[in-house]
Formats: sequence, structure tokens, C-alpha cells
Amino acid sequence: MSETAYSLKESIRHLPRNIKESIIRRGGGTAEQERAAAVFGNMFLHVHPVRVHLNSLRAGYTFGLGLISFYLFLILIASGLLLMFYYTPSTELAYRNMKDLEYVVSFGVVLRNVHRWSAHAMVAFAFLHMCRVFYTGSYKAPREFNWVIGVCLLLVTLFLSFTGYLLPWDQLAFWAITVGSNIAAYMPGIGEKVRFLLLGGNEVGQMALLRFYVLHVAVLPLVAVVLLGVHFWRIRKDGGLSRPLND
Amino acid sequence: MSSQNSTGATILPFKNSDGPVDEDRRDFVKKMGVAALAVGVGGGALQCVRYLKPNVLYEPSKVFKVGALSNFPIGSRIVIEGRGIEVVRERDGMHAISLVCTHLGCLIKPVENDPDVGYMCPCHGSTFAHKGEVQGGPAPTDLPWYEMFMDHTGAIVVDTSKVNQKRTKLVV
Amino acid sequence: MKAVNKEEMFPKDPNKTYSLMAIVDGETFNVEKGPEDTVQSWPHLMVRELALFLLVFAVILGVSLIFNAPLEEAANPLHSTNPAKAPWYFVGIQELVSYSAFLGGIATPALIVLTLLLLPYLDRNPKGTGVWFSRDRRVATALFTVFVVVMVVLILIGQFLRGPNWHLYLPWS
Repeated sequence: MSETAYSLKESIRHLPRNIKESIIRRGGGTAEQERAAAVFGNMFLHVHPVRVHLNSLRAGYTFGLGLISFYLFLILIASGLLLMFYYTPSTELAYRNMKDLEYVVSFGVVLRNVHRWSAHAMVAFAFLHMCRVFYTGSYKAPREFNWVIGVCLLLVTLFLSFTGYLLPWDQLAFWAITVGSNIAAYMPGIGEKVRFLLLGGNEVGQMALLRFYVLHVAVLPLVAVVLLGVHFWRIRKDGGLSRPLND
Repeated sequence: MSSQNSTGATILPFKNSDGPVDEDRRDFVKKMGVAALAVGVGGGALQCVRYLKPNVLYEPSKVFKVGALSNFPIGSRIVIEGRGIEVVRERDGMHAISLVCTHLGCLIKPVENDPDVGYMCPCHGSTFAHKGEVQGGPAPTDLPWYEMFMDHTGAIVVDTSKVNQKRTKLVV
Repeated sequence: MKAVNKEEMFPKDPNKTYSLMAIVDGETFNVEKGPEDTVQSWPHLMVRELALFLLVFAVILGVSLIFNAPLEEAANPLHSTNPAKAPWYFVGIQELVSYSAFLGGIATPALIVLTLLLLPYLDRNPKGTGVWFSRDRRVATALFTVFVVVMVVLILIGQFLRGPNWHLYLPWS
């Protein structure tokens, strides 16, 4: 066994099993240990605890609202990345790209629909998630700071949706952003400067489109991912999802 | 200076000397460090903001010709497309009035044949008198008038970077 | 939730006698209480999560196959749309802005965001945590409900009742 096990012939014979075992680590031992290892041995699952409280599984308690928001964010990242292959942030090309997506590109119209409807749904579900956390009193100690991060995430979500609104460069986009950026200009003292910086000029034009594009595809998603990481990490550090005190 | 506990693990001491600590000196060094960090980070952030503020704008010039005087007969109100202004000529002179709503920047539409209402904003329903004064709606200020003059070729020129505060008309 | 059978979890061994052996410093043991009501994340939690993802994805895909995202004419800085509406989640703010730009557009949103950020530090009574609409938090529940209802009503007015020139119209006219 000892010498032959390392021979090339043996290695090739056990290749599939060896590759599989190198990727998925086994916990070994009892069934319970095996299941625990399935969670903490996996990079993507290890944000979860090995055991969860039964209250966290009650669909009538959370309605899965936060999770739905997160799933919509994942769908938005995937569909957004695909849309980027056919989009140019230029006032001359952006609208034509939209038309191409609609009529020329295979499945382009479906992808655009998925991206648009998920964006609307994410704003709605993030807001509903906030309502759930409020009505169950889940922002109370020790979860205060996670609520603050959640509010920041809601703002980032709104801003992501707002910056994405300009990108199709149609009438709806142009005038919504004109109105929106002029609301910002009412900030006392710095309003006009903030507007100038946001639009990169005095009017909604090429510079504004490029700025909104960079914010939409790079800056804000990065901020959202970091905040999401902290948000999830804090759930565990604060003792899992909230549940009635006398438990 | 290392010591051992009952388990035999080596414990390194936190500081090597038992001499007195100059708390004032430590405090000073700490404050200097924090101040240096604040200046560095703050300066970097300010420069980032400055970088993002464009120095050259590829926007239409704010000073532009709107045409010869003969294009503006007495009693006419002509909207200059793409410039967001309207040139009004009356018996006692002419003026250029902004068509950008002072509320949220929508393009205002001139109202035809109304003795009181001169302009109406389609976005939030602000109304303005013929001279640009707010009549109703959420608009906070009157529509500005812009400086206007005739250049050496006889063309009428409007400068939208200069607001005509006194609302004087160009007499021709 | 399945009740845990205590006898099953802690069977008494008849061959052993129990007596006090030592007193040690530390946290108390759980007396007459089983382990917390927890289950293993795999498979109980993750199967549910996966099912929820499939549901969300299926619904979004279904909606996308039926309804097309709106796309109007190309942007034209020379002609305002009438009315020019912000995205639906900002239409409530826009409705406020149509009364006063500073109060509605800056002061009110800033106040809302600030209140939301400070909320857990202002309401520190731990009573009612983990229960929907707890009776111990009637005032907080009522206040938040008023906030939500006002937001929703403003959005509905802005989105469906505002027509050309931002005048009030009935949705079917």
C-alpha cells in the first residue's frame, strides 16, 4: 500500500476521488460533525453558524425579507455585469445601446427587464425588511449598530437605484436626474457645489453620465458589498437573529 | 525579565523598565500622531474632491449671439432653443429672460395670450408673471434677466453668466 | 418546534451515586433545562435559503418575461416631460418638494435619516424584543406606522394622482 499508493498509476486511478476530497473537506466522525463541517468547511457557507435557533427559521417571524433583498442584490450584480458588455456611458451611444439590447441582442430585453425589476424590488424589500426589524424591536441592544449599518445600506440601495436611473439616457432618466440633482442644490451653503461635483458641470450631460456610471457600477456596489459583509457578520456577533427575551 | 507560570509557558513582560513613565510626554506624542494622521487623511480627501471638480467644461458658451435685431419685431416673444432663454421685445426695449425654473430646473413654457400669467413650469406648476415675478407654486425666486447687448456687427448678444439685477431693458 | 424530552437527553444512570465533589468558580450549569432550541444549519436553514432563492429568481424571471422595462424617447434637454417625475421611491419627496423645496427636499429627508440612524440609541427599553407588534411598545409601533403610512400615501399621490403641470388628476382620467 505504502509505495504503490503514490505510484502514478494509482494516482490516476483515484484522480476523481482525490480531486473531490481536496475541494470538499469532510468532517468525519458522527453525522452531526459531518453536517457541521459542511457549514464551517465551506467559504461561502461559513458566514452561517453551525447551529441556528428555531425562532430564526420561523417564516412568520422574518418573512425572509432581508434574505430576499440580498438575493435581489446578487441577481442585480449578475445581470448588471452582463449588461455592461453592451453598454457605453456616452450621451451619443447610451440610448442606442438600449435599443440594441431591446431589439438586437439575444435575451437583451429579458436581462434589462430582470435588472430593472430587481432594482425596484430591492428598494421595496429593503424598506419592508426595515419595517420588520422595527416592528419586532430587533434594533435594541446589542443590535443597535447593525440597525445603523442597515440604514446606511438602505441609503446606498436608494443611491444605487438613482444613479442607475440616468444610464438609459431617455427622457424619463434625463428629467428625473435634473429634478433630483436640483433638489440637492437646496442644501444650505454647499448645495450648489455638491450639485456641480455630482454632475461634473452645470447641466446633466456627458460628464454627469460618466460620473453616474462609475458610481453605479464600481463605487456604490463596492460600498454595498463591504456594508453587507459587516451587516451579516454583526448578526452573528450580536447573538443571531433577535428572539423573545425570556427564552 | 521573562517569568514562568504554573503551566511552564513563558510570559513576556509588557514593558522592560519599571521606571516612572512621563505621562505628559506620552500624551504629547499621541496628540502629535493623531494630528499628523488627521492632516494627512484630511488633505488627501480634500485633494480627491479637488481632483473631481472639473477645470474645463465642454458645455456651450454662456455668451452667445441670438441673431440680428430684425429677427425680433416689436411685440415678439422668441424662445432661443437649447439656451434656456426667451428674448422679449416690447415698445420700450428688449430683455432676455431665463426659462429654467428656479424651483428644480425644468424648462418653463411661455403662456400665450394671457394678460396675467407669462410663464408656467410643467413639473410642479409654478407660474410667473410676464416680467418673471413668481405668482404661484413652489418656485422660491423670480426668473432672472440676463445681460444683453449689441455687438459691432449689429447682432444681439446674451450673456447668461451675468444676471441683470436691475432688470433694465436694452433700448434699441 | 419539537419539544425536547428531558429524560431522553439526560438519562439517569442507576449504577452511579451523585454527591457534591467540589465547588468551582464559573458559570452555572443549566439545571432542569435542555440545550437551547437550536437545529443544525445544514440542512435545516440552508435548504430553506436555497428554496427562497429559487422562488425569488423564478418570480423575477417570470415578471421580466411578461412586463418590459419602460424606455421613453431619447433624452432631449430642450423639452421637459410633463410632468417630470422622479423614480417612484423619491416621488413622495418630490410631492413634498412641490410645496417647499428646502423643507420638503432637504430638511424632511435629513430629519428622517437622522432619526432612523439615532433610533436604537433613543429607544433603549429592551421590552418587547423579538415579538411582532409587542404590547410593550404601543407608542413606538404607532409612531412608526404613521411614518410608513404617510410615506406610502405621499408616494401614491405623486405616482398616480399627479398629472400634467403637477395638477391633481384621478388615475382614470
